[in-house]
Amino acid sequence: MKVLATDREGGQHELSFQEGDTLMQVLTDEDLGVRAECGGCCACATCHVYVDPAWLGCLPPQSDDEVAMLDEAFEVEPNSRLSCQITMSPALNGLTVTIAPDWN
Amino acid sequence: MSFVRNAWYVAGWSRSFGRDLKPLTIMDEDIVVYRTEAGTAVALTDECPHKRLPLSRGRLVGDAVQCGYHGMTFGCDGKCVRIPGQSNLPSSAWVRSYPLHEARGILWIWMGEAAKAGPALVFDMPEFADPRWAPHYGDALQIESHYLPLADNLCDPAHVSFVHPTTLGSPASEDVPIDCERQGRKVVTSRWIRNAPPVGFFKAFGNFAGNVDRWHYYTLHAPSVAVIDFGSAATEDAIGEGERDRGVRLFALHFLTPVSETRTVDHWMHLRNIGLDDEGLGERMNEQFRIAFAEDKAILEAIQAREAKPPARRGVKLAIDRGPNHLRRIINEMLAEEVPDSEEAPMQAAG
Repeated sequence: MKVLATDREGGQHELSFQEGDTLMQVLTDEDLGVRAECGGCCACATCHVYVDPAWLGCLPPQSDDEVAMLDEAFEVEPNSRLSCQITMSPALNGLTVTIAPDWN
Repeated sequence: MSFVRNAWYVAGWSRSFGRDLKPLTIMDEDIVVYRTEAGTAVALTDECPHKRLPLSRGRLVGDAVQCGYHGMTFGCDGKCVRIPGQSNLPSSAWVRSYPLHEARGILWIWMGEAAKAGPALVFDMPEFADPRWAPHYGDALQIESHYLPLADNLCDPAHVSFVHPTTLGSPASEDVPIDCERQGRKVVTSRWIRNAPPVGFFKAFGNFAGNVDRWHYYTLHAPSVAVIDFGSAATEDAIGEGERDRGVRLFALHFLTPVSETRTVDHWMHLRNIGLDDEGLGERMNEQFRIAFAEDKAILEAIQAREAKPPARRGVKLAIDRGPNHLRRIINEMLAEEVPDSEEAPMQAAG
């Protein structure tokens, strides 16, 4: 099963995943510049991605924590998600995301 | 940065107030506190509306305060009752009177809209009235820091391993994950450190022969009251989460009162379930707590000193920041609720 990720330079990556991985884990297994500072507990907003709108409806809904944390992120769009909050499943085979810009 | 005003804050320990005029500053407001002849505490703006002399420089005349400059005299409700040399008492001759509530040896003050102050909102816990618990009061620790970094510290069990190595923490807890939950306007952060040697405090007061299970439950009642349930029990007793009374258990209470943007007073005290009849025990425990809280003070003051410079980069956010993140969100919600209030005249003549 694969995720299709676009990095910040526009590079395309096909990343394998196992059921139960979080999207953040899949992205950080490759060196794509995702900081994931807090390690995946929804405390930092540095695993921010844009989800291909066609896939948005397939994702688990946002928790209050994720909404609040995204509120502190930069360049947030309607298709923004925190990748640590997305648990991968066969239904997400082919999920297409773009890594959101970094900031200093 | 503004403060949450519609909340009860600790003005001081009850023992601190008497038939004298005691000046305080809370949220940059100068306040004078005293007791009436009957013993009821009163808090008024500490400034005569005539020439701005602090009323605390004056004197008590019965239950009223007489300014030390020209003798303008104000009653407990803040209304002027006498202007020497004239019989007219203009409607503008008043000072603000703050709602107070006194319970459990603590004097609480309400800094916001008086109509919203109610005794039901005053922090309390059943252990104060439970014969299985003994309270012992601590100090009023002045910290040169905004109150929010201190409130962060009180939903952050992770710092204990590093800041309090001789008293409350030890390296055994360094890598133990922290649970975190928001409960309404409270943030609860907690962890258990199982099967480790007792930390300094429990070595001194726990009388443990072997390893212990140690717990910390930090409950921050936003904006400014922290209750830390901590204790230790012999590992061989294998107590469950709900059996903490079987161990040596304490509640540390921290009441944070913002003095200004850069100064906070932390009134701290404890309730304990051991040595209830040992009158000296509280003070012996306090000696250890003074060491620990001076360590927090040093850290927070060093951080506050950096606030004068803008940060060069965004701070790194760690897993242990979930508690403080929740706290800051709750505080922002509380501040947002107060926005309409700030447009009303904040001070109106009492009565």
